[in-house]
Amino acid sequence: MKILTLIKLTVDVSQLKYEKDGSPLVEIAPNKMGDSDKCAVEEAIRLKERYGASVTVLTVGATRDHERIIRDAYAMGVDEGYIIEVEEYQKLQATTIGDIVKAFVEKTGPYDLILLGAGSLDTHSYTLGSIISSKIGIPIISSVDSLSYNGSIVKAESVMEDGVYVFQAPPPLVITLTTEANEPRIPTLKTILKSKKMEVKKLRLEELGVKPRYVTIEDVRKYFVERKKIIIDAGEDLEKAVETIYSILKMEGLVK
Amino acid sequence: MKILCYGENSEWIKYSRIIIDKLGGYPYCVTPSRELAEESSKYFEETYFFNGGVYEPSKYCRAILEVAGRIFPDVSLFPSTIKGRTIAGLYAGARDESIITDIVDVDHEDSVLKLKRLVYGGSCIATIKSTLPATLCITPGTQKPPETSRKGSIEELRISLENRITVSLNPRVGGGPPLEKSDLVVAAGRGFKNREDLEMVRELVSLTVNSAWSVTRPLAAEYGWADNWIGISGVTVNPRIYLAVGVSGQPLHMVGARNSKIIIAINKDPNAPISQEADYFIVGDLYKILPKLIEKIKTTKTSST
Amino acid sequence: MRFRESVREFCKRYIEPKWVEIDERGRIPVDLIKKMGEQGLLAIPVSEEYGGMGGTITMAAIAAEEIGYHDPSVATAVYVLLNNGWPFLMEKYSGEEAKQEILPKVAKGDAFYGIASTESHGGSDVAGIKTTAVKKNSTWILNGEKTYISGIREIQELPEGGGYFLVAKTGKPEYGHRNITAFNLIVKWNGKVKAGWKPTIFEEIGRRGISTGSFTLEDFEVEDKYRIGEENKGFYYLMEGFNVARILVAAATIGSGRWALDQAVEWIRNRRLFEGRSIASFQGVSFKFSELYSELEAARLLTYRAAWLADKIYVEKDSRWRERDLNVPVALCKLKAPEATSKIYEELMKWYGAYAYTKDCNAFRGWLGTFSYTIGAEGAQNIMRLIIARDIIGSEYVKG
Repeated sequence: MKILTLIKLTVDVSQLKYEKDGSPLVEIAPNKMGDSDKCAVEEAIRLKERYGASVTVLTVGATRDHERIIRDAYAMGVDEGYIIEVEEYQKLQATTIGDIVKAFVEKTGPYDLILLGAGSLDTHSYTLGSIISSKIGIPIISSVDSLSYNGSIVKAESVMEDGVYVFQAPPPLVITLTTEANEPRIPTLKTILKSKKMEVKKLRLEELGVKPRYVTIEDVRKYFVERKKIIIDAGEDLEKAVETIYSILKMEGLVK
Repeated sequence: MKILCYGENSEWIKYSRIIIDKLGGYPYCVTPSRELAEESSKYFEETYFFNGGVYEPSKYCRAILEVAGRIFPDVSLFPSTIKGRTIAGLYAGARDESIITDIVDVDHEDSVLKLKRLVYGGSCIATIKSTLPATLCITPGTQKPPETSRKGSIEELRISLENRITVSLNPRVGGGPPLEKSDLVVAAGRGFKNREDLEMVRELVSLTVNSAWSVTRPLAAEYGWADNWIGISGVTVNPRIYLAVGVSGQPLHMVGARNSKIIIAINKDPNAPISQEADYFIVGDLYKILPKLIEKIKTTKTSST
Repeated sequence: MRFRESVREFCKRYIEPKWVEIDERGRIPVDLIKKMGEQGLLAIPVSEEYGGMGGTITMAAIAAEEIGYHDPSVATAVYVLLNNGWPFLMEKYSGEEAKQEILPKVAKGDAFYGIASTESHGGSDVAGIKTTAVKKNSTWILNGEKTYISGIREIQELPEGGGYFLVAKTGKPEYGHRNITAFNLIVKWNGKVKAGWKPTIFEEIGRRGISTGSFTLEDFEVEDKYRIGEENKGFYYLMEGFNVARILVAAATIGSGRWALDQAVEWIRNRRLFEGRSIASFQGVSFKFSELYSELEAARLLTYRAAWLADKIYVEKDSRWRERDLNVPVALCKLKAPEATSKIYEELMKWYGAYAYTKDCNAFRGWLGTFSYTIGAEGAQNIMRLIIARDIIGSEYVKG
């Protein structure tokens, strides 16, 4: 069984700082492998452990941080890793990533399963899996909270507003995973040391015959919400605080 | 400009008109059931519908592509929900066009779209330009278009549709309106120490009108106290009042709540991030405030009957 | 370093949520010990052929520091440092059979391995120990007692069991420290407690997660294959072991100190008094903070320098340095790190005010836990001062 896992180097949003004018200081923010991507890698390694699959990991971008996350994937048990050298990887359109994956699969595939995180921490479009599914022509199961495979059929559950959807199908499939899918293993010292010696393979965009399409970003700014920000200290006057909440509920007609 | 809207549900169908009116252009709608088509015909000149049955993304996408093949839209609109984005991605991938999601505002200059979308977990807004054709996923908001008495045309799509994968749905059990349609949403956060304490939240919901409750992600995903949660990876709500109890107010959560008309927050910590995002920030112990609030509602109710 | 990140991930997942309970209940859960074994946090500097991680003393220090940060009472960090430092020494000098038998189980988290040197009539006075070991054919018979020993309960709870790097008097009394032999004293193995080992557990005021107690040995039998190194050379092996253990102790207390500093930053930023001024705006507070921070950083660098040197000597076997070159660097970090940390806790609790005096504020756990290292676990502070004085001033002058 051949599995391809896609991982993205994302800005660690929890460490993001801002200028006075509200523009985010992205260049100095730390980068990391997305949490749901880690779950995708974990799921792939579990399938490898059970069914002897071979696992390949791919990321778009060729900075040192990209190499680092490939090695992190190696330390989790991935067999082979590729980085794609491309200008301004952060600004590529999702359709281009789809083109890259398609070309990569044509070059190194076919794969039984293509696993990735449902949405990244930084741009969270939640569409990449679908785009890849369209371009390669294999079905998609998205936002999977729990995955199981019995050797021939994949069974995947996705919790949505109206209930729990259970999807079933045989490979080949594109599957996007949420952070509920599993708890990713933490690399041990031994696997970290081993991962340092493994080769990270590099491909250039031209080698894949893909033309990059970029997003035109005019501005990025901290999201300021204009709220009243009225502060009421319940410790000082519990009655008044409760009265305030009650009267707002009453005014909006929410109290019977 | 021709705009094709995928009408996933009636709330979204209404909100999409706000977006369409901002873009200007001739709007079409495609819905996965006749029932929703009846709804959309109040707001759209032309509606197509197919018998989607249980949601299966490639089947739904196939039907929408069929309509697109007939009308050649410049802009295709989807709601920025899990289903909406999955279908939209298949759609944009098939049409090889650009797709932008989590959009909170639209504008256009000639045939260049100017879109404002949430990025970095909902903590920032990015302004993006896009040429046509484009697929847009819009975060549903609270505004409603004016009611009209007009009735647009409805046409059933006669194409054979098949599932590519097997789907079954275990519908969510439980009374009360779904979160997305509630006028009051009570959200419980980490301030709650035990699962049993959520009983107070349930009681509050039962005493109020058209209300529902949910939690922040840790209470669902880590503690298992609920199946779903409010936030960027969960549900987005747009009630009249959002009552956040013991919620610190991280951006990843607040993204799901920002559309609320009024945000009231109860938190012990005067420096909790939610203090910057609330209309009314009550500094205090939820274990003291909630019981008193419940008592007040009960006693005022009985005294008025 | 990615190793530090992976240890942090582990601690955030498995240790941070439990540390208060560990201190309050006075117990590290056995399944946590097993998890730490599976994660490869035990026996880091032990060779892979004996089940260790084939890592360095610096890596063991990193693990001790991060675990000390996430369990500021340092109980978990102490468990880890004991099961890193003493197995390392044991590997250096023990017989092949003993190594093959004992080390893999320790690395897996199935058995405990610590140090048993202190006796009730004196800890610092190692040469004055009274526990005896008498050889009868190929078995040693041990009699005596050890006290203030960690791991008494853990050995009893762990599935395999475990034991100690123990020192006993073997030669003629007039030879002083030259008549001490070191043994792998395995008191419980295969789930069975051995005859002649009588343990007691004490109740300590801090660092409560790891047990402390004493035991008496009554005709306890140790086969010669479990002897560590040469007869009558035990004192020297012990000193080497203390050097390694002390580096790890310093690292653990620094981790705890870092936690205390992080709590301090949060508190002095957000605590507002006298018309909404944050107390950080009072120089009496911010200047004090800066001093505490600088002392911890200095102690941290001393610790990692000692770890670096230990690796040069023991792991890389770089001939430019000898084992004795480690004495002063180790004494420095063991002297400075617990002191720096202790001062941070004292000040933190004063900034907290009355809140610090309630159990709701957990700072006291870190304070009491690390304080034990200023009292002198793993080496009394005055012994550290003596080591430095003897080396720099010269023992002939210091002796008087």
